[in-house]
Amino acid sequence: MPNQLSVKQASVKYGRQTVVDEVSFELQRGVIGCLLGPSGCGKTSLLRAIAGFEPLAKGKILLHGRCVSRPGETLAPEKRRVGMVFQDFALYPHLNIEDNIAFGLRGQGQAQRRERVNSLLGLVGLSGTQKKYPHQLSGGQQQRVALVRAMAPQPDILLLDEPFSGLDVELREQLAREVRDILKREEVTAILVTHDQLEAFALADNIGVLSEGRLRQWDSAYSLYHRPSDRFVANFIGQGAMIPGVVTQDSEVQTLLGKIHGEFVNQPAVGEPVEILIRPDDVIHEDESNFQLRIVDKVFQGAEYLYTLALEDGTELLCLVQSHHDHAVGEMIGIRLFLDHVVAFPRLTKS
Amino acid sequence: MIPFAAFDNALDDWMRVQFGWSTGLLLSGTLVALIFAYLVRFLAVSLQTVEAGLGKIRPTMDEVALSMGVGSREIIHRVHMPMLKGSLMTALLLVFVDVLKELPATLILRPFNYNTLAVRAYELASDERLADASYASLAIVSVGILPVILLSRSITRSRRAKPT
Repeated sequence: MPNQLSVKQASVKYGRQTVVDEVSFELQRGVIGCLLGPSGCGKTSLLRAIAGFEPLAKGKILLHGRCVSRPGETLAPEKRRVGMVFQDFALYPHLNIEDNIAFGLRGQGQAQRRERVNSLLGLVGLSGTQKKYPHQLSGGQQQRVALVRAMAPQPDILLLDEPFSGLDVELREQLAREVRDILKREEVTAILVTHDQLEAFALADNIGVLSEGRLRQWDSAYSLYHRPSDRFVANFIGQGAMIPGVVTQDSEVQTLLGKIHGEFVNQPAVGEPVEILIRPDDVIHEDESNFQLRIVDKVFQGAEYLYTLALEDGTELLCLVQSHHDHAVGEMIGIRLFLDHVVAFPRLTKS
Repeated sequence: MIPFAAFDNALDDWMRVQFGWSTGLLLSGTLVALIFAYLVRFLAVSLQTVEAGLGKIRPTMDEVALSMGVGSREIIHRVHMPMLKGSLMTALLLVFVDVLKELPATLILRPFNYNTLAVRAYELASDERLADASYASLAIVSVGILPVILLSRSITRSRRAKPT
């Protein structure tokens, strides 16, 4: 069976500026992918290229095994069978909810159409709103209507362009989980574009991190966090600190916090000066530890405190501790490192 | 006016030389000049209204429709026209009422024996035939009140529809 979506070395250019640079990835049927990156990284341009709104300068895009985009040849969006959900929902204010959802349904009888609309509305828990108008619904409800409207014509792929940015934060995560359930139940293949990693983690199976038009890593959320392939991904996903060290032998690094053992994600040469990525959850608070560090800053996060600790050489380390352990800034606390995977990058020469 | 007059004279000269037949003042002596003047004068009024209507149609609305397999021609009559209908009608009404009571440009540019209500009211009033002038004046006032009624009605309707 062909992949639902294949993007092969796709590049998008605006004038002479390359905004998407040879990006390749694939999505199987029913999988939810995510393009994650800071604003201006080219994620939206790539999504628009998949939808058919932007031509490709290089490479090609295959939908369901059919080539829909290649340089000089772009199949019109209305012939692609894609569904789109935008940040502003783009519901038609002059149509009621039923007509909005049925907008893209064609070649069916009225009764059939109504039935499809009813079942879709039931899916998102909005039965009974058929005759209402978009402005009578709340933001979250409008978002759901926009989602099922895009799903109504049963597109090959659903494209979500920052679909939750227009909503408040609490609603966002709840809705992201809901949307994931719906997409999974209906076995919809989808791509989400966002700059919010929590949203990406909540919704997507596979996440691609983009920066400056290039795809840095295409992986699961867990791997992005624990096995980042480069510094950009390591910094962009989650929090963390880099502490300097030297590789003493295979699977061992000497640092200011002692020797670290573990499975190396990327094997550096013995003797090479490196920097080790330490996530806040790699640092364990232990009073009797040999390593006592000074607290520079602390942030209360409810269940946990996020402490910023300073090493002798000034390097800062983040440490997540249960909030029962309430220490004041300036105090020394004992810590121990606990790493499954060691992520080491060649040390940058400070200039 | 100068280009209009120049064109009229040139055409008239040429026709007279070629066919021995005078066309008269084809543009400046007819309604064309007047309509052109109205166009220039009231474009701003209608443009503002229509622009406000166009502003409500966001580009994403077109893109959503396209992605659902609805072609651009269909988008015009299923999305653009219904959404613009209100503001187009408002613009039409505003311009209609404005043209109805426009006086100075009409006085200068109208063809001979062509009277609008405003011109008629002005002529009769300047002849001190005030009673006769009143018919035209009242007609203008009663038509001019139309947009006020319609506007206030649509404002109350939109207030009721959108609880804040």
